[in-house]
Amino acid sequence: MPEPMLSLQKVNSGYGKFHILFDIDLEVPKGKITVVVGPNGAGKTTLLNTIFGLATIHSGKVIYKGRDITHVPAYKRAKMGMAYTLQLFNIFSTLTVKENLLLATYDIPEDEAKKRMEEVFQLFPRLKERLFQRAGTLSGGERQMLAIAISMLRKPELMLLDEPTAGLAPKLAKEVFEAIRHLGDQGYTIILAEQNAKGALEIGDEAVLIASGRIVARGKAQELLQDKDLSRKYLGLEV
Amino acid sequence: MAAIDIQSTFQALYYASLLSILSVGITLSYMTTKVFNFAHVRFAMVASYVAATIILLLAKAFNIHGDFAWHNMAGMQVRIPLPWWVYAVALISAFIVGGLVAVIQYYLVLRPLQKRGAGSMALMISTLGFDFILIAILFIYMTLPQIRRLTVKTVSLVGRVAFDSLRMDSLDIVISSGSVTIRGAVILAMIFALATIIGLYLLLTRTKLGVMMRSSIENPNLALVLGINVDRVFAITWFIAGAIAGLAGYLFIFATVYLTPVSPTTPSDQIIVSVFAGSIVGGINSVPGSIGGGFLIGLIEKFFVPLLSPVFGPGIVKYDKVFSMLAVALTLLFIPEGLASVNWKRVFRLGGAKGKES
Ligand SMILES: Nc1ncnc2c1ncn2[C@@H]1O[C@H](COP(=O)(O)OP(=O)(O)OP(=O)(O)O)[C@@H](O)[C@H]1O
Ligand SMILES: [Mg+2]
Repeated sequence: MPEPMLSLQKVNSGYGKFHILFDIDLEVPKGKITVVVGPNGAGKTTLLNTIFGLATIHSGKVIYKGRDITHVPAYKRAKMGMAYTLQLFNIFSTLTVKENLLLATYDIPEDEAKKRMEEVFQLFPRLKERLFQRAGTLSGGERQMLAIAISMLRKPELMLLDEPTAGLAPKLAKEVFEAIRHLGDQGYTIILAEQNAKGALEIGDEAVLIASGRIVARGKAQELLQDKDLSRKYLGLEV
Repeated sequence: MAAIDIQSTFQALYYASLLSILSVGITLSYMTTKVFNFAHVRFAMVASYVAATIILLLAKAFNIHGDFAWHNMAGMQVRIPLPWWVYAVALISAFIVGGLVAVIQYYLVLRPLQKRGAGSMALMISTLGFDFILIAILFIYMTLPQIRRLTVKTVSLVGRVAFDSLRMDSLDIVISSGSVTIRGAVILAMIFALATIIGLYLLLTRTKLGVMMRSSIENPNLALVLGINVDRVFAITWFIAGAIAGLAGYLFIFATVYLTPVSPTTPSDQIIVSVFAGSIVGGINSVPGSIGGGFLIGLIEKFFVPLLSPVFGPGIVKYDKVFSMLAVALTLLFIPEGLASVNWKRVFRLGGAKGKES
């Protein structure tokens, strides 16, 4: 088996004294979409925070591209090729769309940044029309597009997405999922945490199910989607 | 009206400028750490002591015995007691020292406490604690034999030296024309305030660092995720806040009769309340707001309150802070986000429209 992009070994983590995740073992394969599903408050966001260094790791190890990054601060992980679209407050609402995009590329040479922006505009043409609008005045869908665009601009080797379809109309959610699948096909390694388990599992490759801070199931995304027991018990899906 | 002559107008402008450059620092540090820094004006005091010491040392080293330089310019007499470079060196050191003390507070006190999950109350008390430490250090400093000797030796130069206080106001530049005399510190205060406004505006809107500062303030987690070292950006912000306080400290040397580490008449103890008032009235989350707020509070205390003396008697000026506090109360009641949150365009448009109707 090829070396995974990221692996977690017996990780216990949380926020300060609070212990939220228990004994997490996880391998994220390169070039695949790994979907994290689970009920509200299960610990999906905390898992992504743990991976990016925004949570407190009590014990265990996080290995990224063969390197132990357990104690590497978040901003350095960003420089190591990770990007993260946060669940909440994932854009700078007091800045313009353009300033948001510029911040995402502030550490990248200018021509390269321009090229990447054009690529992003192809996927989300609406952002180009709203460059000088304050990001806080964008519609919900446009905000999510901007948030994903910010991550994409960083051309990450590992991209974390936390509920990118939250609050979107079904049609728009479908578009966003398609965009993510498209990224996956281009070779991005993606970890996607989603409430909308069905939509996420349909486009995912691998999947883990978290409940109460523990991984309770894992496998191919399609298999998890088919598993009636799990679906009913944790995800409220009728298959 | 006797209350408004040129001299006292300039005094009021000096005070208002001083408050505005101190308020902006309170606001900058509040925006990053979400804590009201009670030690902020003491940064200025520390900077004063360092700058004053440097002036004394240079005066001693270069044997400057207060041979005052005089210039006649366009009917004005300008008295410059020290070579200009002495002022420059003192100013730069005040700026740097103010910034460094702020950074020390950020890294040694606030950051560790925040990492341990301290709430805003604990952080605020810690700033008081830091203030006490600075006071103690200043006391120790002023009673060091070397410093005592330095101040006594230069007694002829600086006018008068008490055991634990400095008097250097006689070293200020003085511009006089006819019966009007204006102090250099007064003019400098206005220049500093203007430079602070322009400098911060350019920094925040035109530079990468400025955009990083604004983004880290709005959403530290997102900034981190984009690879911005938020800790360092905040530390730089604290440096800037402290350095601007250092400018105020430089002004204290010349404008205050005595510098003392702590006393009811020491600038830092006298004006911290007004500085907080400026920051709140302007809008605690707005840099331009704090500059305007500080200036407004300064004018209220030193310009409008004296105007009331014909009505209430001259004793009213002792209660100038009451009016600042009143301004704070009114602000918090009616526009809690401060003057910066008011849609001024709309206010003026409405005002204009009404004007036309009547
Ligand atoms: N900063 C924090 N301090 C303490 N507890 C927290 C903190 N953030 C989250 N939690 C707790 O951690 C648990 C897991 O939260 P998390 O955000 O990871 O859930 P989630 O699976 O992402 O839920 P959702 O689907 O609602 O986004 C919750 O019980 C939550 O209350
Ligand atoms: Mg979540």
